[in-house]
Amino acid sequence: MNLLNELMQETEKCINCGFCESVCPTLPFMGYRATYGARGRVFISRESLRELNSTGVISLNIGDSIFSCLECYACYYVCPAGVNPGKVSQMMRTIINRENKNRKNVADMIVRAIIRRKNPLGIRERMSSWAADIDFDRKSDTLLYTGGMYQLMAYSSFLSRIEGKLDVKTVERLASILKDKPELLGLIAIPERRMKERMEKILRDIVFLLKRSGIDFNYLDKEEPYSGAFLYELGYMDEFINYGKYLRDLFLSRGIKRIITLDPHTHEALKILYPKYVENFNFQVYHYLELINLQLRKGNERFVYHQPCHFTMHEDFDVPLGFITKMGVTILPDRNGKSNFCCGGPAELLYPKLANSISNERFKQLKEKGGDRIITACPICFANLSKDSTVFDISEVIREYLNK
Amino acid sequence: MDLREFIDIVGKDNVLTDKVDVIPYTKDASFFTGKIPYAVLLPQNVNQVSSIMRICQRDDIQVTVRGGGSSLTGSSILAEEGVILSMARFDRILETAIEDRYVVAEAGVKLDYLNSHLSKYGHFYPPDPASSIAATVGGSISTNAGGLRAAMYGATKEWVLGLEVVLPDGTIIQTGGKVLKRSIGYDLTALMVGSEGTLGVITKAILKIAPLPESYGRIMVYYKSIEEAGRAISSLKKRGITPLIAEFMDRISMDSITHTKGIKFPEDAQYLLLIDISSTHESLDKKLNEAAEILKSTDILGMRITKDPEEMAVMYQARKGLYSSQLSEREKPGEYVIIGDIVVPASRLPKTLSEIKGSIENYGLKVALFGHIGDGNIHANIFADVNNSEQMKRVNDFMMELGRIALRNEGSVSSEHGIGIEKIELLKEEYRYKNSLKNLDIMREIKKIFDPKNILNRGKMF
Ligand SMILES: Cc1cc2nc3c(=O)[nH]c(=O)nc-3n(C[C@H](O)[C@H](O)[C@H](O)COP(=O)(O)OP(=O)(O)OC[C@H]3O[C@@H](n4cnc5c(N)ncnc54)[C@H](O)[C@@H]3O)c2cc1C
Ligand code: SF4
Ligand code: SF4
Repeated sequence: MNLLNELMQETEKCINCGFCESVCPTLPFMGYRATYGARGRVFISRESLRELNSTGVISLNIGDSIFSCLECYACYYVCPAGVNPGKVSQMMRTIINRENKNRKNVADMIVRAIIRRKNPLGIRERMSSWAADIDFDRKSDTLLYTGGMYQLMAYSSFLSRIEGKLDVKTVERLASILKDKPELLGLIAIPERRMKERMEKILRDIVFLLKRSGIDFNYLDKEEPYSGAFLYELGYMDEFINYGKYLRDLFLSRGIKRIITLDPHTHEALKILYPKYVENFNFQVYHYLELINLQLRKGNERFVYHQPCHFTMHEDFDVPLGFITKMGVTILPDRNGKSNFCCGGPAELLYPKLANSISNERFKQLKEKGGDRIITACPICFANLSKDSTVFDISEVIREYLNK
Repeated sequence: MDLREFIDIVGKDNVLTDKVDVIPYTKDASFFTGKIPYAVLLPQNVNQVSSIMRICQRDDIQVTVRGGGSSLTGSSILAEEGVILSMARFDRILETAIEDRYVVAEAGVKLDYLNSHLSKYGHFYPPDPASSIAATVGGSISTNAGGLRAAMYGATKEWVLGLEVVLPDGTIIQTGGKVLKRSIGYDLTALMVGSEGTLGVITKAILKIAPLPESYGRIMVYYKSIEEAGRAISSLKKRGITPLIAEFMDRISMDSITHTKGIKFPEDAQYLLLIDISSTHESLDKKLNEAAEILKSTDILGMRITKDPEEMAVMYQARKGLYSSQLSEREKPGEYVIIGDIVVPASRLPKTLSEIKGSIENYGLKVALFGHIGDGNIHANIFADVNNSEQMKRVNDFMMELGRIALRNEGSVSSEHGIGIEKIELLKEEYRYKNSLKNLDIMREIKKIFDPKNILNRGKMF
């Protein structure tokens, strides 16, 4: 089925009940304007598709509504008609990108940097400094693949802070200049020192845990490209598929058979999305937590777990929860799993103020549970939620709880 | 339309006029499409609502108040050109008084959110329409919403102690209060319940709350005949047993749950009764057995009793999500499931149900029957393509007939969804049947006192 038909079928199923709107994190923080909630997104998509079908154009300004969706799928889990407004937004972005009218320069800028420089900020070569003194098994057919995700957080939090100080129009204007010169993007990509150190420590902790579990692996150092997840999330489907082919060929040329991923977005791209859209993308993909097999201490600490949305979307990936339960007392926030509440991170580069409001709200919800520490298992969630010293990446805590 | 005054009141960001921002407000959960609003206004406090209403009254601007926009009768969309007043930003719970058994909430608070707050105190607000995730305090009061628990706790009207209301001329009034009873003349709080946004704008409500039931168990009974299922409820009531929940569903409904949730039901069962009995821990078994014995005296195909919280939760969610399951049985996207909603006294259930069955056959429609049978509320969900005019004519005729069946059996044409646009004719039918068309005149006069220029929700109810 072509994209237009698939989208029309999906949006025509909607009965406008508003259930999705009640759980959509963007709605309250965009002033309760219906267009910025799940039901509104489905509605304006349906109207636009009908128009596109009959006149060949979309006249409504739907860009900000569609691009501000977090693709967290909280809406999908409550929809009585089986509609997925998050998926509708993702697919509508593809329509918008093809249509040209409602495109976002910031998105175009990121996409071009990924395609040309294999990194969303065009700084691939800066992604491997954390690994300078680590010995990798250069002959291994298993690859540790960071996709640069943890590393990028030090840069994106800096950028979003600057963006947050500017108005959306200025940011869009800047992006329209930078999108043709991804090499310049690197000049304004300055890392936040503390975040950089923390992220590099997390990466080294993960390597430590894997090695302790007896696993050998290679790493692509300065050549390691980004995963392409953004291309999919921003709706650049043709680009995503081509990028997948590039990754596939790169991995094959290095004799890679197994890939170890570290974060939910990269994991989802490699394990679920590329095999679906790219021919012969057949690698064995594991999340590193699936491979760690170590004795842990049991303590009394109370851990509040923020489950990343992308660990619920396609399969209930509850391995992190298993670790947390082994180490201490698990506390789940009221909204969790299939009644999730996003960290706000996906909006960080395009709508930094929105992302910040959502992450503040989520942080408050997590704090209210009264645990000793907040744990998450995603660099985006971590970067957005680490608003005090009680927030940890799961790898850090596992390392602490290792039986010496 | 000059919007500057509105912008002065609520700020530029809270006056929506771009087409992309206002068109979502042309739909609620009914199959009607409303007029495109001139503007959508998003006030945040009572004074802002008051100033807005004063301007609207002065300039004759039509206003439709919108809560969760989950109305099934077209009551929260504009029937005539005007503005939408969204209560979404009234989202705070202001006071929780456990000792005095009330909670004060703003009108835009969603019912599930309210209950998740109250559960921390071991209490709850009983009205639980299946739309409780989306329905607001103001919207559910304005439609006198019912729900699964109405069998024991009654509909919304039993739970509203007092209101803050803005009248069309901008006056702010307080009705009722924080005490459980009072006798001070006409009950204006009661008048607002079910008024569907035609008399005033509810900004705040004082709601009665109750402790969560100590324990409860469930009996599921299967029947071959619809009359027998109806008889079961009247037998329970006759013996003084009021279930916490008493729901029924037919085979189409059971099949839709099997398809979507994987829950299986006995093959020969045509109807299922789902009955919850609440009690203290000590006497729960005794009460469950008592009810089971009474049910066994009817012609049942099978019975299952459980106190397992997980098993009960699965079935409760399946029942609450029944409408969703039915949606997945639609033959094509775009087809609607139009909900018929009538009520009769419990003793009339057997006869009513069999008359409805006959009528469905006459009209040649696909209809699923289910409902809150504990309080005599029957839903007849019709699968219909709203673009097929011949079929829609049959649907409308069937809806009228359904209403008449309810009236012949001493019931009512609308149990809990209200009148809106959908049931204007049925409302007349009810009072005509009762030789009481005068009631409509009285209602119109009341409306005139509250809203002399008829600016609130014009084109609804009458
Ligand atoms: C899937 C589904 C299941 C449902 N199940 C049930 C059920 O089991 N029981 C039941 O009773 N109903 C049910 N409904 C119907 C509907 O959800 C309820 O009537 C609900 O209470 C409406 O609340 P709302 O906040 O969405 O109101 P809206 O739809 O926004 O408004 C309803 C009416 O109230 C008025 N209104 C809203 N807020 C205010 C206010 N603050 N002041 C004055 N007027 C106001 C509006 O103008 C309108 O006339 C269901 C609907 C759906 C979609
Ligand atoms: S919950 Fe589903 S059916 Fe209801 S408004 Fe949202 S997308 Fe539409
Ligand atoms: S995916 Fe998340 S942000 Fe997007 S519409 Fe659904 S609930 Fe809202």
